[in-house]
Amino acid sequence: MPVMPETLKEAVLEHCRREPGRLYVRCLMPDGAVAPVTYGELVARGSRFARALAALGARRSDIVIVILPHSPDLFCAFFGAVLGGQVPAILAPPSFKLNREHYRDELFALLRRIDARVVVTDAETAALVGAEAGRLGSATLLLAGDLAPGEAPVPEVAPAPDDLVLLQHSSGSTGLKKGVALSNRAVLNQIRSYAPTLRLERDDGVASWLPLYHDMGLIACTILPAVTGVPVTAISPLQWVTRPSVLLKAISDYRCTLTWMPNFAYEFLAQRVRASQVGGVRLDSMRAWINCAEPTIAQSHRRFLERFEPMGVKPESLWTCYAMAETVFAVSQSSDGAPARVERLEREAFQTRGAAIPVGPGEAPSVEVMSGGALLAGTQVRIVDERRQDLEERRVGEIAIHCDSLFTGYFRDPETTARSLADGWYYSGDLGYVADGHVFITGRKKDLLIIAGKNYYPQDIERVVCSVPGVYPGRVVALGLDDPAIGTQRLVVLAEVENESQVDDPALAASVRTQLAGELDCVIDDLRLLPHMWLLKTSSGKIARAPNLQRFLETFHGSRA
Amino acid sequence: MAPDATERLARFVQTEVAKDPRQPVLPGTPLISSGLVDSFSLIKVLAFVEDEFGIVIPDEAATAAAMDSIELIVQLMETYKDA
Repeated sequence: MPVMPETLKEAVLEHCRREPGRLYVRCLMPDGAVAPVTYGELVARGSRFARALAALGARRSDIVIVILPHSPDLFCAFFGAVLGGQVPAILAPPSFKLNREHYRDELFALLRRIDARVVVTDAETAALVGAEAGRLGSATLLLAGDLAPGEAPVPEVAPAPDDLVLLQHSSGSTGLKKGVALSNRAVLNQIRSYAPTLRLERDDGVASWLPLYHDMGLIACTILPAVTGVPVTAISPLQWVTRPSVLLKAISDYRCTLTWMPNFAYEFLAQRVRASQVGGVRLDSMRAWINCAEPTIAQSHRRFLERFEPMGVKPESLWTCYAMAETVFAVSQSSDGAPARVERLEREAFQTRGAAIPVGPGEAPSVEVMSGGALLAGTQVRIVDERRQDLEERRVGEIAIHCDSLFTGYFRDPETTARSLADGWYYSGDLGYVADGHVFITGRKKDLLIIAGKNYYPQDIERVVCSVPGVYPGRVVALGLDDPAIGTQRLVVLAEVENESQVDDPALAASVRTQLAGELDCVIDDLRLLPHMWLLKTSSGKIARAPNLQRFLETFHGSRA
Repeated sequence: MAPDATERLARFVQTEVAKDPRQPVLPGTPLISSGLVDSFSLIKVLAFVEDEFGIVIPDEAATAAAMDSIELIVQLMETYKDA
């Protein structure tokens, strides 16, 4: 392998100099069109974006927001900002169902808070949020369709290894999103350790339907390929939702070898792909289906294999990964040489004492857990208690991580940064244990719901539900209920109503659903409108989630958690 | 289009797809933007349309916005019934 460059800009330019005709990404469009982008084209079009950004006053280290749908320009605008020495951050385009005033208010608040210089978007989004006179809130607007014609030189700016290279926003409502700030050094260190773990080679190919505003889509399926020169076959995330078979077809057509997906996608593919959609599809080119971004479930792998083994999926190609934006990406990774461990743990000891004691089949009531693989070279993990004191092996505690790819901090949020980053250790808020060098993730210390790979803070959901007239203010709880049948969590919302007559009221239920779809793009699986004083409070007067989940299950499902 | 297409589709969506089967599904009822149906369930609607009516709606047309009510879905079916 050649010497690794020190900045993302250098990495991309290096590919462009050596092999300008080499494919970087082929965008598969929903209408069947294929839009390939070579490294030469990426740098050429990227430089035109960089020229336009500079003309709008963007300087080195300024924040540039990119809001574009699946298209070559999404990649070119992102790398254009990188070439110009700015710090790009990709945000999700507004879903049609979002309340546009709400989206605009949240977006404008974020732009002000992070002092974004330019927003690169398309005419549709600009119109939706009411851009005026070339401005979008406090930022300047650049329409991707309006780039000046003619070649542009590659900007001369030479970013330094410790300069920020991108912001990654992943959780929370838009205005409150924490921007994970990553330096060139952190990103390239991650790739230096992750690429050999995956044994990436030039003839590999990544297939992805993941959105680029998610760390898995951005780091694993956009930046890792750009640095290593492995081509990407990119599918529209929106198309994948209505036709998941498009991923399998793309893998078969282009002989892809790796893909990353959240756990629910394994179930979704196994259950929803129709035989008529995958005639002639072969999946034997795949070395790695990497399960990441939400809790991994061994049963989902088994069902996926049962469905797709006849099409060439190999059992040893089902890998797992534990990753987060704060470490750039992967902390641990399994592979065919070092497969994920699946353990059965004594249930009582695990649930009541946080002790991970393996049991044989049928020996005692048990729970099944699957590891996120072995730690990446150079990555260290400690399991700590509430006081951040080390726990022994096979004890469940908070996972703290030390590695050379840690984030610089949450952008312009020193307080949140100080709470989770101390003495070179990142306190992840994830709960888990370590055994024989493998990390097992068992839950979250922080309240976070991961539904179909998408993160929601229950507080955001509760705030929106409380704002609906008729709902008793402050008496709402949002819960995630694990559902192994779909491989992810279901969203349960328990809300007390102000008037007894509105208990179970379908009209109020409809208002709650509409409000939540409009503000958070979020659908409730099970909504219960309950009489006042139904929810349990703790002695300190808080509505705690665990006891109310328990009461919900006992009342409506006749069972215990 | 069969005259009862709207009714059959509405019944299917209300009983098999909607998160709250108590909510009436009328031809113009918003499905996705009302939070009654999540976008991962649209695939069930597409499969129903294909199996019951023999109509395949192409991917570029089968967006959540274009399928936000029974009326809109029936329009798509009209457009692609002979495709």
